Amino acid sequence: MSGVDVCVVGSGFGAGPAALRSVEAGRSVVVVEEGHRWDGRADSRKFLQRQGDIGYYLDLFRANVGFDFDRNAASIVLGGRGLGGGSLVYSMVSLRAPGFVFDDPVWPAEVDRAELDPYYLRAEQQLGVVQLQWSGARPTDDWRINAKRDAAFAVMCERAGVSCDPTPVAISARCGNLGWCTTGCIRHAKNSVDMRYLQPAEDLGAEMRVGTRVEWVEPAGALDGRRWRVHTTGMSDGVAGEVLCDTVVLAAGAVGSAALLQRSAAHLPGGVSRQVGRNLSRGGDILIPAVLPEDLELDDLEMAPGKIIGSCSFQYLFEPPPGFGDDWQRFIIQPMMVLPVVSSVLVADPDGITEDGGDMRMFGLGHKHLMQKWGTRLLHLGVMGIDGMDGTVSANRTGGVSIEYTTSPRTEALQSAARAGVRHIIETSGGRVLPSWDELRNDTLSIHPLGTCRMAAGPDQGAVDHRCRVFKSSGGVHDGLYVTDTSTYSSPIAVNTSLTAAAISERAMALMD
Amino acid sequence: MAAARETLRGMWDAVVPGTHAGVVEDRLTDGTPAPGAGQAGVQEWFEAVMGTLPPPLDFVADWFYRAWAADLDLWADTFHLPIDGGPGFGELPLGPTLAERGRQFKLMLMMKLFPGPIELKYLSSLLLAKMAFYGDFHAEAKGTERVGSSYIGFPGPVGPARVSNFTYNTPVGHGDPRLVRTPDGLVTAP
Repeated sequence: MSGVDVCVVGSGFGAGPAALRSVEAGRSVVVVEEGHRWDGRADSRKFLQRQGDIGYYLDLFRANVGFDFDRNAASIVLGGRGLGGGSLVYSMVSLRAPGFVFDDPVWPAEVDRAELDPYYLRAEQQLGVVQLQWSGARPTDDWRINAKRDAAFAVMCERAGVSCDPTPVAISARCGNLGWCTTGCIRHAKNSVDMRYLQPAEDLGAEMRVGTRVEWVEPAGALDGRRWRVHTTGMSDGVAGEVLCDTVVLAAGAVGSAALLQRSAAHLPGGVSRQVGRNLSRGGDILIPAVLPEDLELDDLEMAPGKIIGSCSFQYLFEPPPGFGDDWQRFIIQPMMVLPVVSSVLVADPDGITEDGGDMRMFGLGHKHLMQKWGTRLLHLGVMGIDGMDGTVSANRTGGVSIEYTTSPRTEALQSAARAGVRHIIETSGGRVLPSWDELRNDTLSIHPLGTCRMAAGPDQGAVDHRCRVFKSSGGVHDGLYVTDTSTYSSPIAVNTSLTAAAISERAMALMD
Repeated sequence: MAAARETLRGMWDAVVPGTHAGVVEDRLTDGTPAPGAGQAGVQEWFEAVMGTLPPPLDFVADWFYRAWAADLDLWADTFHLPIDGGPGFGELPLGPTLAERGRQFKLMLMMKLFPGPIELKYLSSLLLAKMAFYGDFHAEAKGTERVGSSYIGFPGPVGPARVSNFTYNTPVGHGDPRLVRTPDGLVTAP
């Protein structure tokens, strides 16, 4: 029989478990990935050379950008490009979703935290997640001790009466606290999907078909001997191809999977839910820059090596920030290491309004002087919370994807609560919170997109059932057609999204017929 | 000198691996804070000895910065904008034993280099002081003979005598009591 048992589309956190568990179950598997393999990850020297090449970054990150000319606002969704998907550029923070998020009525009754816990554990063990800590034996524990940046954040939290914990991260003992995590670890200490899921799958016989874009999916013909036909195009040569298979697992991310289902809808008997592409959440992402107080003597904070993210305040998951009532939108705060090149773009001069009304907060001499003055005293705080899922994804006729975000009252409530929480922590210590992007512009930048193919009880609310099987538009499911990535989240989860995608994929594979 | 000093403090952390660096220090057995680089008088030491280092230390330091400067050249075409008459990349007195530690840090460092000229011997002294300090630190942690102070007369991280159970690791802040642990000991919201 030609073809394979399982075709996995994408290669990130939703794809890795699908590939590995399928091949472990004795099924033949092909993983189709639009990007390429990162050979540099096996060759530190080559990798270092590429780090000096701006093309490296353009190649590594996948950016979907939409622009609303009426609002003069851009919507940007960033992800990883290449075998490993989002894990190529993630910060390794591996957190389980808080139980309360599953109280959102869109989540199917079968899925809650207790149900997912065994699959979380399985994903944690496969990814090699370890608990960072504030102290340990030196130098043997250096690899899992937190960095100065995290200590500074913890000190400010302590002064403000706010809790702060080291995060669980997916790293190995090879970590040298170099701070290269996002753009690639030259010590191979970053436990990404390509290393921890796809490599074992490949060792067991799974095929990694990189540089190949999936166009649409349709049922195979009666004589094909397989259930599904996956249409592909080679990225380098433009040659059309196909994969015949019995099961298709879409795991191309919140943007990619929705667009793929939309492009496939006309070819699928029974269509897909009208909910596909709706309810795109930015993951509650808000990036807030701050200047640290003088008394911490942390002039050189960004110099500090360490993990990209090593600590987190969970305080505002459990109680509102000062000035807010019990109906606040919940969120976490994580101090992040941001490259100074990027940092200088993200930081705005709060005094940059000129006499003639011009806005020079992001540019100009004042901004440059601000960077000189504060330099590495800048600390970027990443917020993730419960936003309004107020974006949409639309596949257009040319094969591209349109993204549009609005800002709903729920998202605005999250943004104001997050700023209040960050201000409380920073200003209690005498630091200064700078304007964040969402304050200056209507732009939306999301690195934790989710939603668009929500898991739900039926097609009127979501796109897939609790087992991740794709709904037909009027009820019932497409046998053998799955979505297993962050697009299946029925609600935002208020923490980093990678581990939950892996857990949902693990569960879907465990329940696969 | 103030601008250079600020830059050098940045360089200090760029050179030295680890998670300590004067943020939150450990306490000694009598409850007093264990000295960090500042308390150990490192800055005062290198200001006193700068320009007076004996060979081969002066040679090593010069080599170090030349090599680092060569490495920085790799960035020139991509990122460097010659603004405000700042030095070109090849003119920066920096160097790359730190290849693995990263150009990220060098970029950060360069942002702080533009305000003022750097005195090479000052940098050299600082670098050696840092190496001595952390050499002694590791010697303290392992209970072995010091390497830095005995060679260049550096006072060492905790004074002239070795301190048993020396560590820089101190828990900071407080964890959230509402979090729970997974079977593998990871923190998670319930």
